[in-house]
Amino acid sequence: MNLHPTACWNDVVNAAILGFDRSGARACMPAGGSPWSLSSAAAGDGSMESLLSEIATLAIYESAGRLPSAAATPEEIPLCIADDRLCSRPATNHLFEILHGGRQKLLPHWVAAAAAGGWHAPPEALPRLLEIAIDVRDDAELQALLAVTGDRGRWLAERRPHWKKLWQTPDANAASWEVDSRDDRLALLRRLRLSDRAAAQQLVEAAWGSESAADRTTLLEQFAHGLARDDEPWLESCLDDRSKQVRTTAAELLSRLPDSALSQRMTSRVHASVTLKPGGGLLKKKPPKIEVTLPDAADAELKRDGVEPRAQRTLGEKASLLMQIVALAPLPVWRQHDQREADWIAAALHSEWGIALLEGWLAASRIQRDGEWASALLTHVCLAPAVKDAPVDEQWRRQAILPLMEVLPAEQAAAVAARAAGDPHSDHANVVAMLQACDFDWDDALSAAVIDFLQRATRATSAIYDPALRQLITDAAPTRLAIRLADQLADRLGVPLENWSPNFAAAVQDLISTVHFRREMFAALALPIPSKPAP
Amino acid sequence: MSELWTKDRVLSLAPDAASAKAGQSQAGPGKWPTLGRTPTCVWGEVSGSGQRPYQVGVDLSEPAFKCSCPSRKFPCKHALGLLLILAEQAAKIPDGDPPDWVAAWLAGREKRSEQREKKASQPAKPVDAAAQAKRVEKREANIQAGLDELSRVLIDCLRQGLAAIQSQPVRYWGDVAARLVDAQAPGLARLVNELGETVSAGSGWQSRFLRRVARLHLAVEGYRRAAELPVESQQDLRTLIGWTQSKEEVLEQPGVEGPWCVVAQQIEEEERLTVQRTWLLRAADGMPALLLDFSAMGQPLDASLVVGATVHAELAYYPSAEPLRAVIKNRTRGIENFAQLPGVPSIDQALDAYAQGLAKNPWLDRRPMSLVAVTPVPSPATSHESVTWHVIDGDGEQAPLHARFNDGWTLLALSGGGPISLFGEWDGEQLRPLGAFANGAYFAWPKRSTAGPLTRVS
Repeated sequence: MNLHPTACWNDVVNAAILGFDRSGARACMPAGGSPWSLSSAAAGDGSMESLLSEIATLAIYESAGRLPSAAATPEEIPLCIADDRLCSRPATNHLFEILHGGRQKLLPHWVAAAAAGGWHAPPEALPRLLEIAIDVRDDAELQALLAVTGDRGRWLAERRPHWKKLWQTPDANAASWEVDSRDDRLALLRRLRLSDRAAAQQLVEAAWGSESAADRTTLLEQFAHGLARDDEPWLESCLDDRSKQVRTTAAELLSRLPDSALSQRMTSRVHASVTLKPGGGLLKKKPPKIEVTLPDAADAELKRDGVEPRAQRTLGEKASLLMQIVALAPLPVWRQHDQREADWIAAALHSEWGIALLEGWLAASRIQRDGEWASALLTHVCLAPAVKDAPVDEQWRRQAILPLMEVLPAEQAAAVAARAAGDPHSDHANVVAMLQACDFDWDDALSAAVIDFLQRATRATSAIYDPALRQLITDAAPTRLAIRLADQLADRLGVPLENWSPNFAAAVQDLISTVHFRREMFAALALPIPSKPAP
Repeated sequence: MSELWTKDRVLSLAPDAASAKAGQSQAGPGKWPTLGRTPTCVWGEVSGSGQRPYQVGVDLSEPAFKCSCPSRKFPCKHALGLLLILAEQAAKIPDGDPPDWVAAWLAGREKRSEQREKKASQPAKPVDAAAQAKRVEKREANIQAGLDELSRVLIDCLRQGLAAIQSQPVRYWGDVAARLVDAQAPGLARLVNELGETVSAGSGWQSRFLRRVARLHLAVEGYRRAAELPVESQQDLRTLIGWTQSKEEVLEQPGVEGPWCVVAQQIEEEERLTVQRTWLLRAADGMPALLLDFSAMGQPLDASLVVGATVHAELAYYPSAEPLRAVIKNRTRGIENFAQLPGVPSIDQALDAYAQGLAKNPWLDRRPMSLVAVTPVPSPATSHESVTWHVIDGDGEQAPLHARFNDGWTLLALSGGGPISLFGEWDGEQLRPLGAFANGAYFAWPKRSTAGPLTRVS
């Protein structure tokens, strides 16, 4: 006999699952109301209808009688103090539009500005921000994001293990090395490379023997962080690795150390194989000529230095050899006597070895991050008028823009891009490629040039079919254009042209509204601190 | 900057997400050749795709909207854009006297509301009593036949057992519901459809299913013996079965004075019908009222009630043993933010009120619950997967939040570990949160249940 209505109800449910025909059970209410019981005796007039009525009464009796349960384990949650650095109401609106209104790509901008001003996001946005933080890989971005979640974000994350991890800085020691994920290990290695090189070296050397070639390569790539002379012995020893990938990576790193033995060897190889002969003809008007003498094939020594026969399948065997030697030779080697980059490039453009040399210099500029060479290649190859019978075609010239621009310091890149964007004769696709490389906030000069460019480029009948232009309008320009020029942008592009499709017009409109949005967003975060805490 | 008309609040008026976005595109003062306002009204002209600019007006005291554009959205993007300018760049709107077209519209609104009052005070049109009685008699007969069949279906259920229910074809309950529609008992048809949805829905569905079967049986039995019941219960049963009561009749009920806090608004899509449920709580004592608005074929829903604001109105409740559903009888102009959520301090009190309500009207399973000082807590607090949420009151007693409620972390963030006020619907077992008052402001979820963020609305 079960007296509790809830227990009784559970019995009734179980009987009902089987079916009352089969179980033969009856719920019944003894005279006088509760207690309830389930018995096999038919109650009332014994009909199914009266049984159902009793079940109904029991159901409501049971529902109505529910009492609140005492908290089983009163979870002790400490109070979080009120926040006096909450961002303003307009800033909150901007944040919500970013998080939920389709402007996600502006989140890093909002977060950076709020963090710089010492502002905190409102409580209702914190779970979403913490969830986003889980997937942020960039350390500076993560720290800014955690900063804007404020004390309350930290407090909230304490309650959820999955978020709590965000504040745990990985121990800079080898203890977790064995068990960490690949990404965590690489992050640890990078940090150690900058703080405790000996420890980093130990970790790598200990792991070296048991790692796959691909993983050894990745480990080695981390040496780019804090690369210095004292890395040479280890890198030099990596040239004896059985993996070609590892050897090439080691050779590239060594070539960034101008005094390394590998750099010396490559310098001698360049001296031995490439010479620039002054131009002949009357008044020496003919361009200088490049003469190349190469060994027949890559010998063991060359292979050890990361130079492989036929590494570049589009080139002949000898050209491939030359290209790799050039790529790994320290770039100052070409500046001997009174020869400059421009002389070499001019000669290469008329040489049968041109493609190998240009490919090599392109690679070397990238590896050694040599702004002067990058700038020279940009000016004299990529952006110069096409030369008849040139060794490189239009496509090569365009594809080289991005890697070369990335070598340039931001200011120089901005200046080069501004010049190209401002020039009415520039090739549109080239300008777009250059702007894509400018992955930083554009200054006023560059922004003004881009607005000029957009106005010109969107006038073309084919504008709406130009994927590169569209990409500039939807990807780079909205987040990079200087907000000071927002009104100018609206003035110049605010009225749709006849050749624009509705879709294209919408993209331009979105660009304008995004730049305005950014302006308002920064203004809202630049507001002075309120005298009393925001409610 | 208007305290009342904030960006969030304006956007919460948008009939859908696309309108909200379109509204923002209209919010540049440059698009508006003329703009003007008085303390209770704002207007402007905006160039659209038509030849002439559209004339847009908003009566801020309710709000009410007017726009000469052909859009069927209500409020349209122009009205939203105008309000957004008011919210964000109020200085761009000069004070002035309303132009003729605004004045005419406002005067028309006054006149209409007077006419309504006049009409309300006039005797209803004479009806052909004999013909109506005949129609009612025929419907009663239809309903009785429908109830008899439903009763057989329910008893079959119990005989065969709930385990057997699962093997029924999917359309089984749909067919039963369709026959009830034919029997002119659409209310019961809806309940039967809901019953069908419970089958195999989540663990422990059998208990929920049996509760619904029992409740339906109670309706059948009750309706058969209606004459023995108090008048209010008869009315509740008639509503449950699907008899409608004319709004005019309801408006004749005595009025209940506010002011009322608008605490939640939800839009639910039913078959060919959109239902807007707006919960009001009387500021003085937390007495609840539910305003329903129906729209078919994309007709606009009532946009004059703003969540987070107090309205001054006299409501008329539908007659019931436990009056809940109501209509606005009279409304005075002006709205303001409410400074606290009316409600009860303890869960015990709230459950007590629920039990009393159930005793009066056992067919109503979702009831409003407003708790003024509860702390949200996750449990189990240690694992992040499948966290369920509770609220704990000052006495240390707890109530579970709905299993499918997935925004607990936001509530916890708002609370900072301290008590907040929470409004929601209690279904007898779980509380589904609809709005929260914390840190001096009211927060609500978007009116369409499709997951959206908890947003500050006041």
